[in-house]
Amino acid sequence: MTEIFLVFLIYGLLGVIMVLVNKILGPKKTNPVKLKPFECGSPYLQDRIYPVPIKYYLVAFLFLLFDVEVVYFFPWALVFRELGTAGVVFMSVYVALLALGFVYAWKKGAFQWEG
Amino acid sequence: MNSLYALAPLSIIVLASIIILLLEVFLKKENKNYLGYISVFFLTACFIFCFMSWGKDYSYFNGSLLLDNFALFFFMILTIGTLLIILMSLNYISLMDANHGEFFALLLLALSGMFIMISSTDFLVIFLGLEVLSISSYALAGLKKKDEQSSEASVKYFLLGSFASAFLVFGLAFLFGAFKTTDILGIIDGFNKPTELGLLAIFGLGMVIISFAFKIAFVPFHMWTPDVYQGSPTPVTAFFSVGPKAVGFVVLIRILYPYWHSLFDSNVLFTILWIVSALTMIFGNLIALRQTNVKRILAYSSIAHAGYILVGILAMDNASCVFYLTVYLFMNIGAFTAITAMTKKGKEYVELEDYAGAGFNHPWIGAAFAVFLFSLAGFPPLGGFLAKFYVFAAAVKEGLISLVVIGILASLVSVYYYLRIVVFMYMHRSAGKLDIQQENPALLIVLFLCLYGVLQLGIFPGNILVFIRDAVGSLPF
Amino acid sequence: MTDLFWLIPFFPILSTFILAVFGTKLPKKYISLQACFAVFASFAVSLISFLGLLKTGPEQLPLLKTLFSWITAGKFQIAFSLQFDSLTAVMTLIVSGVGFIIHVYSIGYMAKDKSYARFFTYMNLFTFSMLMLVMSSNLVLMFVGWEGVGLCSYLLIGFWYEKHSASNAGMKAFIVNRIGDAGFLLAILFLFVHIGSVEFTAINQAISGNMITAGFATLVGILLFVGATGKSAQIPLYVWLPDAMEGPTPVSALIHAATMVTAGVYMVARMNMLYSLSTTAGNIVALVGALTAVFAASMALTQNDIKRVLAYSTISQLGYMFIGCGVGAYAAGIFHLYTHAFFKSLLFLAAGSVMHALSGELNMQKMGGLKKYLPRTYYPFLIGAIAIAGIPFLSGFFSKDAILTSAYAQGNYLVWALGILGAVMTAFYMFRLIFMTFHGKERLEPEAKKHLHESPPVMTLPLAVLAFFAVVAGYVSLPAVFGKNLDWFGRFLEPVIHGHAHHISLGMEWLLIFISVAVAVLGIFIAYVFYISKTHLPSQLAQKFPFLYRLLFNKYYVDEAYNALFIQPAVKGSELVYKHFDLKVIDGAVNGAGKSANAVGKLLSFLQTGFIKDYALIFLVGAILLLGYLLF
Repeated sequence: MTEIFLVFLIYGLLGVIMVLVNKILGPKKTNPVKLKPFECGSPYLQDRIYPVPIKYYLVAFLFLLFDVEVVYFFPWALVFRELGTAGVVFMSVYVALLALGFVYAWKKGAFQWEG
Repeated sequence: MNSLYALAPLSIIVLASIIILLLEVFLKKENKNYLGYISVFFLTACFIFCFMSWGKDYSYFNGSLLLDNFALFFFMILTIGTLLIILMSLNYISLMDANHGEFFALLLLALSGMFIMISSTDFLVIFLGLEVLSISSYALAGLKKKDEQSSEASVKYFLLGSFASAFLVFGLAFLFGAFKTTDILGIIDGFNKPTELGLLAIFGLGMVIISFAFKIAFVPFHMWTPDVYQGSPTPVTAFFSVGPKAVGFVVLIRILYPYWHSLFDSNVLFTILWIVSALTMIFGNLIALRQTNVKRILAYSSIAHAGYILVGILAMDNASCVFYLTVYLFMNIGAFTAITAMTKKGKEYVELEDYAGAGFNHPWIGAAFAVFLFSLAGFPPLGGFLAKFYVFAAAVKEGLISLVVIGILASLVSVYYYLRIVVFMYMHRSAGKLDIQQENPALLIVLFLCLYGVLQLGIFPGNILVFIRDAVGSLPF
Repeated sequence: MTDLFWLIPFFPILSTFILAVFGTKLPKKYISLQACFAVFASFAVSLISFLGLLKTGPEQLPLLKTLFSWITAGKFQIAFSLQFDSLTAVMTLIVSGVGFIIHVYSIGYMAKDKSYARFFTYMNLFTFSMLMLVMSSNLVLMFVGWEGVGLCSYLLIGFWYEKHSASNAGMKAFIVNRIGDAGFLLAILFLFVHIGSVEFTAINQAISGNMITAGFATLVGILLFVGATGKSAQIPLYVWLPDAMEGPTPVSALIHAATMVTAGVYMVARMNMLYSLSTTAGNIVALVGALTAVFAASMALTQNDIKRVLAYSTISQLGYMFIGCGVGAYAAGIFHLYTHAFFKSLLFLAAGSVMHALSGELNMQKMGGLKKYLPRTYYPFLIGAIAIAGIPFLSGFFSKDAILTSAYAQGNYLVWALGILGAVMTAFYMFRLIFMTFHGKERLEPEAKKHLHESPPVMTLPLAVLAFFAVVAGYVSLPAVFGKNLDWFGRFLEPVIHGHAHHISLGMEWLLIFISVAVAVLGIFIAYVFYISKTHLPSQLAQKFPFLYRLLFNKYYVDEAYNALFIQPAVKGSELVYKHFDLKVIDGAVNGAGKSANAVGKLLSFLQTGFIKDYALIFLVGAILLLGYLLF
């Protein structure tokens, strides 16, 4: 047992030591340009962060969210009979919450590609 | 008692946040204050419910949701805290161009996450609550969408927070692997039985504790605190400085209290926490000396206070910790309210120089701020003094003399930076820069309530102590 | 209705809060109305509770009401609890009743003051603190009230803080009282350590359970009395009270005559079970009281400041009260406290009315012949003077007689003789005051004469009310010579006072009464001779005995002695310490520590780079160190 941890620790420490050694020994020549976010070598266009449209990600998020939540239906379906009425009630609450979230996202305009 | 009532506080808060979200998207009003009032209404309802069910010991989901007095006490003080934060931010969010109805909904969701963490004794459920709390917090930190610092705070908090969550899950996996349970008492019970997997389990426990140490901001897991506190909108900072911290301590108490009583050799963990506590008190206070940003000063001060509370946990005196957290809630929210007041359209005054002469130009806010700072520094007869006194007295009784000496020296150091703000407010000539638009009634009410809390707890702590003793008495062991 | 007694202190504190916060914005009329009403409400509740108390059986006493638990630190538990029994009832009635009359008087007296709201805030705060003092059911809460009245006294003495002498007098009062408080605090701590509780009921139980030795009782009794000498201005801590006359006159009447200064007497009476264990402590109390009574009266003989005469007279009368408590006649002491509250506040208010009429003149040598200008002030003043002088059938006669009789009955002849000596002087200086002020030649300043006017009814009416009580208040406790069982006052206090009275024969009692009346008349006669018929006598006497006169006129040089003995050494010593220790050692160490802490802070803040990768790295290093330590 202990050996495993020993290995874990040694590697962990090793990693840390290497980073630290790098930090200490490595030459540090910073200038403002260097500290800017890397943008494929081309000059930095904006110096402030503006909200950028992330429609694609948004849809992906929502898809993931509502898709993964459905996973919870499977265990419920397996013990559907044993849980009885209480199970139905709880699941309805769960579905209602999801539906309300859906309504919110809809009204917020999450599904509108344009505009 | 197994009863659906156990779900009530949580349901009230979640319901409120959903209602607010729907109202926000359907009504689309310019002025969001009405959403604030709705949240206040629901929070009050929740508070009343908690108060009524004191001593009833409701539980549900086979005890994984447990409304013992300990949980109820924290429900109540966190409900009050959230209520104060909502009241103080009514005007602030419109001045800061962060006027989203989601602010209230997120605060309430974060509160519901805290409720879950407080009322559960199962690590898996606690993790669930932690995530609800954390994700809401990340969004809250970035509430000022057009503000660079706010976005930076949000991202930093998110990245480091996920890092810490990973530690929790990883540790949990170890614990489950060792004892085949995620229930706190089951795990502690497991430690009492000698198994070859003990090492695995203690490793897991260490990781779990690290993740909560991150939420509480113990040194050396505190690095996120100053940046996030500084960047977040001030009321949200106030929320971060009390809510997650209190919850972290609740979980720590729930783990460590039985653990100290377990047969397992708990000295190692004790030594580690001893060191962490000492480091937290020393580092937090020393770094704060150098700061010139008031929010950053309070960020480091909140780190230091976590160290003091940990002393109480090491002394195994839960009542003094709970009392400290209660006092801390009032004085810290009060101090942040005063900072929130120093705001005009699109501009927050957070540099020390901005506060020159503020005590005379804004006598009410200045005086209240000074009182909160004195309380944070631990001057009698304010609550902060008694809180420190109880914690240190308990530690002395347990023989933790050297830790107490460190703590007292550290809090002596802290007097310097707290009083520095007071000195700026009262002894420097006003530069005439401070032009604030925040003296609204809701904010003054919050100031007054916090002032009342600090004084009441400092001068007449008796009644609250009775409550706290009752609350702590409901813990197992 | 008795269960509402805990509301008594509530009204003044509520009023204090309102006045403190909104005082400057409210109209004067409203302020005075609210302040007076608050005290009147307390009085009404006190009266109702008092009437209820008469019907309550002694086995239910004292009535207790725990409002909330206040301090809990391990074994040290103190409840915020109030009690109500006969002693408390008497005190609350005096405090709120006389307090109410003085509040009404203040409306007229303070009418032109710019800090009107501040005055009434302090007065209400004082009333609250005093009520807390007499109603608390434990010593610690009583100490809070004790300090509260001390604070209000300080604030009100220095009320006109622009005047240097006023703010100095305030500080003097505060510092002298601190010395006494130290004794009181020590006594509380001793009792707590020994008995484990500071509740009066617990202390009394411990005493009746023989848990306390006589030696311990002597120690605690003397320490408590040290506290009492501070607050009640007894030798050697009386020096603050004459200076306290710098405050507004209603303050002198309420705080420095009727109520606060009697707190020491109340405390000794409240702890009577403890004193009953120790004759030594009792004798010390009686002797100090008697000496103070004579000493202060002798100083009053030559003073020319009208309020200072009254101040020394107060000290002297407080001495009488302590005689009563010291010889075990607690009821007599409290009885004198009760009658004194009426006639002394009457005298002060009347003196205030004289000052008001003469545009603030205090020097009696610049008065005289005022009787015809100020009749509505003169007659109440005269009644007060007769009452304090001990002329039969006015209140002062009954109470002083009760004390002196008890002292004689206990066999404490020295104390009795001193008391009689004090009585002669009391009659003399009181009538000297009357004759110099109201009779004889007019010696007014022309400027003052121009504005001479009788005070408004809002000031003279309280005088009339107080005069009425100064006459009749004594009839609640008649001496045994007038018949049996006429001592209602003593019987009412019996559940609280555990003393046993000494009895003497009726003939002896008649003799004592005769002596005290005779000396009172003698005193008045001498005053008449000196200041009405043969006015050249006083200056002749002063020339004949210059040393004695100067000694008395300069108040035995006590202030000067204290200054040379205590104040100067303290000031010099602290200067030395400041120069050599504070500036060099302490400041050096503090600055050094501050600098090094700052430097460390600077070093540490380098870690805060702002890069997430660095933060995560530190997190990771911490985690690995922690886990590594945990495993090995």
